[in-house]
Amino acid sequence: MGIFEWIADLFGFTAPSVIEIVFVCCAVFGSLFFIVMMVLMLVGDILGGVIDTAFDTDVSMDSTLAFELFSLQGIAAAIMMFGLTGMFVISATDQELIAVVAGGFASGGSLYMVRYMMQGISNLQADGTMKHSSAIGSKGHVYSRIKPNDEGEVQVAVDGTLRTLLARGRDKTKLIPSGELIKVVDVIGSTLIVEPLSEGDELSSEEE
Amino acid sequence: MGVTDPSDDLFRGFWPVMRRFLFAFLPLWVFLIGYAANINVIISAIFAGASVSLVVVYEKKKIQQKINSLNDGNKVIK
Repeated sequence: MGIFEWIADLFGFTAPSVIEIVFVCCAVFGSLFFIVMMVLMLVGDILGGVIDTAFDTDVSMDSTLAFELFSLQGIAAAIMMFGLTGMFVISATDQELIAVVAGGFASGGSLYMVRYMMQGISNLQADGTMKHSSAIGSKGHVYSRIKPNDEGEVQVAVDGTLRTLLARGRDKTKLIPSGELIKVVDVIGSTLIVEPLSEGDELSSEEE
Repeated sequence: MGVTDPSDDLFRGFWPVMRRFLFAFLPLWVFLIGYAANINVIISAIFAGASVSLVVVYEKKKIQQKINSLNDGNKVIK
């Protein structure tokens, strides 16, 4: 009896088929790898804290290493989920094809969850770069009048922050006086293209 | 001078990992589906090999989508 049959027998699969052996091996080795990585991460944190205290150093995990670790854990979790789901489905339905398909989807789902977690982590970081295109559709007022075919300044909220930005009128022949309410209709480079708010726009703004 | 690969930024930088994973496991998954469906092993293997190309096609499609969305930001009043 080979080691794979022995492992499958351990999980209650007597005379396992090739697919069952694949599932069991994925579940066992994926789980082992996943648990070992989790333990190493926790122990690493504890040991890191001890070393920090004992030697007055700063041992920390940089973002690249953390990213790789999460990636490896994601792959380990995907393999584990493939095996576990496959084992469960094959026990429940006795259909190998359904088990393989279900295992694949479970594997993809767990990988997607890791990706979702990574996205959440990256969302915690803010680079502070303002995207001028985010200002399109924002409403504000003219801070420094916009002369015909010339630049002025407007104050609009971009990404939740009130900013004073260069602006030009959409209608090049029109003067937009200071204090006039405006709406950003476009962006060229770092210059906003604005137009005065009509009554309807003002009303819709109040309703919001 | 370093050359940047546009695919590195897909899925917030997680794509290179996903791509490696898919390159390794997608053919295996497709082969297992074929095997479980009692399809001929050689045909299953051909399908498994061909499935790798789906990853590349998907990557190219996502890059194209990203380029198009970036170009949409450069609107000019006409």
